[in-house]
Amino acid sequence: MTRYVIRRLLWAVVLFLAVTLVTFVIFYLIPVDPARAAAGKAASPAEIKVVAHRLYLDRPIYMQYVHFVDRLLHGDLGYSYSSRQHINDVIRQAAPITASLVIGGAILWMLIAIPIGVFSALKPRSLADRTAMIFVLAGISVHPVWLALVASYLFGYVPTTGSFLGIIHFPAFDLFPIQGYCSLSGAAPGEICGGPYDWAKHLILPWTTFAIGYAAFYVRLIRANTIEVLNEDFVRTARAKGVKPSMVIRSHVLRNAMLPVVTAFGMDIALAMAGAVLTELVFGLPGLGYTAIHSLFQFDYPVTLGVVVFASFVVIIANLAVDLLYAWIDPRIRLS
Amino acid sequence: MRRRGFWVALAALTVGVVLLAAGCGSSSSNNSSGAGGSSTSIPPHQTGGTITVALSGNVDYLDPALAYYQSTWQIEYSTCVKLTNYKDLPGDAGHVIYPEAASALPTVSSDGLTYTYTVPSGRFKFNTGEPVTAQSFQHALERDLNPTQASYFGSVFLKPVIAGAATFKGKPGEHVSGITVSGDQLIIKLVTPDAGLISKLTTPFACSVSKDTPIDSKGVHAPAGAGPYYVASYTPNRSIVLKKNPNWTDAAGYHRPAYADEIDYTSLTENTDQGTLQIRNGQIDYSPDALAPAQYFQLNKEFGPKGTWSGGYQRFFITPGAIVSYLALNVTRPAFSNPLVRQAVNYAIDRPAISQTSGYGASIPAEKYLPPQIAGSAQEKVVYPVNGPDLTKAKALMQQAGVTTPITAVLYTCNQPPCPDRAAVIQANLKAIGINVVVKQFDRGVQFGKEGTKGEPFDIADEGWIADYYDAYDFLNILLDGSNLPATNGNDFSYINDPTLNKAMEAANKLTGDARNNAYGAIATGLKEPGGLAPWAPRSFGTNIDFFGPKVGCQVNQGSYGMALNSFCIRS
Repeated sequence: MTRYVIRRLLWAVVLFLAVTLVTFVIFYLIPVDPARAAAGKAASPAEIKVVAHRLYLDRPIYMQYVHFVDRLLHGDLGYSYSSRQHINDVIRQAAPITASLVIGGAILWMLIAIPIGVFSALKPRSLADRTAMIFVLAGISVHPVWLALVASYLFGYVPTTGSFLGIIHFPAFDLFPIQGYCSLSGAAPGEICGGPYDWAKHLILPWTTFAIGYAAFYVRLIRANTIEVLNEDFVRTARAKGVKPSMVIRSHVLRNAMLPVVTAFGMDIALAMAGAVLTELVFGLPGLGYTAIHSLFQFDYPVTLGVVVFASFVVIIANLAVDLLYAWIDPRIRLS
Repeated sequence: MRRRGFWVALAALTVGVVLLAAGCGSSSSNNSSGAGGSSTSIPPHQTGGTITVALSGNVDYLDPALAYYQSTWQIEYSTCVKLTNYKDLPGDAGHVIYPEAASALPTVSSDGLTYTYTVPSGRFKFNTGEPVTAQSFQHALERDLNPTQASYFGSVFLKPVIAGAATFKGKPGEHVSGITVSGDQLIIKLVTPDAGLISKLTTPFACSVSKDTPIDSKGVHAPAGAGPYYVASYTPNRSIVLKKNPNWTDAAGYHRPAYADEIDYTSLTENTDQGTLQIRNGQIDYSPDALAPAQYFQLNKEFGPKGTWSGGYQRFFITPGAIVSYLALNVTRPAFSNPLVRQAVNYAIDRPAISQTSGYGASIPAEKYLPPQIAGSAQEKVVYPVNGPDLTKAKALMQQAGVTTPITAVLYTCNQPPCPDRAAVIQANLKAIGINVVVKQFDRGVQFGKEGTKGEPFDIADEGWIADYYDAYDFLNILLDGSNLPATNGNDFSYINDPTLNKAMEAANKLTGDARNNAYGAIATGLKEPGGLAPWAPRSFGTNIDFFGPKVGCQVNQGSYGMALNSFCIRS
């Protein structure tokens, strides 16, 4: 086991370095002069040179990379070109927002997917199963941006107008915020909201939008796994021995049916970090995805690079954890 | 005719607002200004309260030495006191420089090398109670010039002209030899005459700073303010809080109000579609940019000067910005080496059609080199057609040029909307006079870099320029002086290098007042008139778009920096 852990850890380090190298080279190849962007539009070539030197951009690429990795090893992601903010601070501020969205969304999608998936599997081809499958089809097909815009219009804007399409009239009220984010820990100076209630209220629509697609996928996955396990010999044996149906489902079916789901869940949580970009953009959540996109448009590559490196780190750690967990659960993995 | 109408309206607006300002000051009475670019009246309003603002994206800095975005200049207009400033008046009146912390415009030595400002101590005070003095400005300019502070404006616009700036290292106790204080006088010595200095020192880069403001290359987050408001707090990417300066007295008598107690930038990451909805329903009170361009037409219809919404007052404002958009015609390439062909392009393009591709209200068709905010613009004559192409004239010029058509011309443009649409219109326009345009699209940053590289094979560059400061030098000298064309990172995308033009611009920069305005106006006109060099085909001016929630009133669209935040009040 120790050798396996060491091997996985070493691979994680190699993978991380490879990601940083590829990302760094991609940004280097983009034909935009960051020194020009940082120096300002009317800067003279001499001024641009000064800025290039200050930003370490006048050295060969390998030296820039070594400098970058050296800083990285000291836990320093560098500074933004456009605002000179320390990128560690940028990430520190954005990561909890993305985590709020992804973790909350993931809990919601599992809360939707498990009961529907299991129920559909227990009553295959019933009306409820067919209805669930329509939900699955719609959930997988609908684009999250469209869904987000419609949700914020219907549940954010329409209630405040007191009228729907000019046909239905009702007293205007605030249901959900159209966009924005409130800190879980409380309102910072200048923020009009904060604390657990405001935090959750601002995230209900993003969580729902974010969760729908994944929930639909997981309903299908859970349904298929459950149907498969229901037909296993050990389930038949348990029933034949007179075990109560609820006990069969809970102890024999679900436990086995959920194993592949847990695997997929571990992987999807990491991938969902990338999927969160669209939700963050529509709902104005200044998370990692939003930060990366904005920095890309501003040619603020250190910030983009910082977000990519951080996200890669999280994905690698998540994968490593899943690998180690698996090795612990199933000894055959270690041997292979 | 349309342009004349515009100027008549602008003049009426100016007169109206001047009368308003003189008549009512900051009172709460109902007075009509007849303005189009600003709110039409000072409505009944409450004193105090909080106004919330949304921005699409973060600001860059709030440190006067570093702030450069339009949104931060808007904030600094309301948090700063400068030696000279623009009044809180819309239109032309808002483009005139007046003394603010200085008791008068500076006295300039006969050789144009020494500027002396008198700054009466304590006339203005920072929110901390510290008086604004000549030292406050000495410190501000030295921060701009400090290599550690790394200010764009200091290094590009002040360092080349202020004596001792080039050798200034910013060590503790060190001063720039060309910036001295004697009593209440601030004396600035130059190494070369620069009549644009007054304009430069009217930008937020020359905002007075407290003596305690440190040198910080990352920018001070909440510098003390001596204007109507000050920055109480700033959390990057999240919030900015502006509070009323308790020591604000409007000492210069510019009728600069400060109605609301607080102006909160509540979220700096607004999605534009959603931002528009939030302002519509009053969840947010104001945004200068978190608006969806596709909705400008509808917003203007509902909330514009003749809006149909039930409240009746204007909430949506479109006003010209100090932005010129143009096609740079590369004179070093065979396609446009003949000035008559370049003139022909200017007559062939359909400016209104090109502007329409940007969406409703996003640009104003124009053929001037200098936007209306820039002194000299009024003196620049209209030569080219603004309401549509004049193909007869364009074809005649092509014939006169004696070139063999079709000519092939490569157009560099960006790959984001509306650039591709604009390119299609230009392609169709120039096809009519025998110029086949080959469009090459790039990411905006890539396009800018390529166009600034000498020898890059393009004939037309689809470009624009936003003022660094409100002076013709920043448009004409910066963009058309080819005497020192760099191999890379240039700004003269037409690559024009005409000794006569260079000399004329250099001479104009030594003039002041009307002589300066007339000279720059004449240079711009000369580029367009028959026989002119026509290095560009100017096509439009940019605009500022502002949208307000139902509770905000008293808006003053300050001629130079857009909506004056300090003018906003909460309707009662």
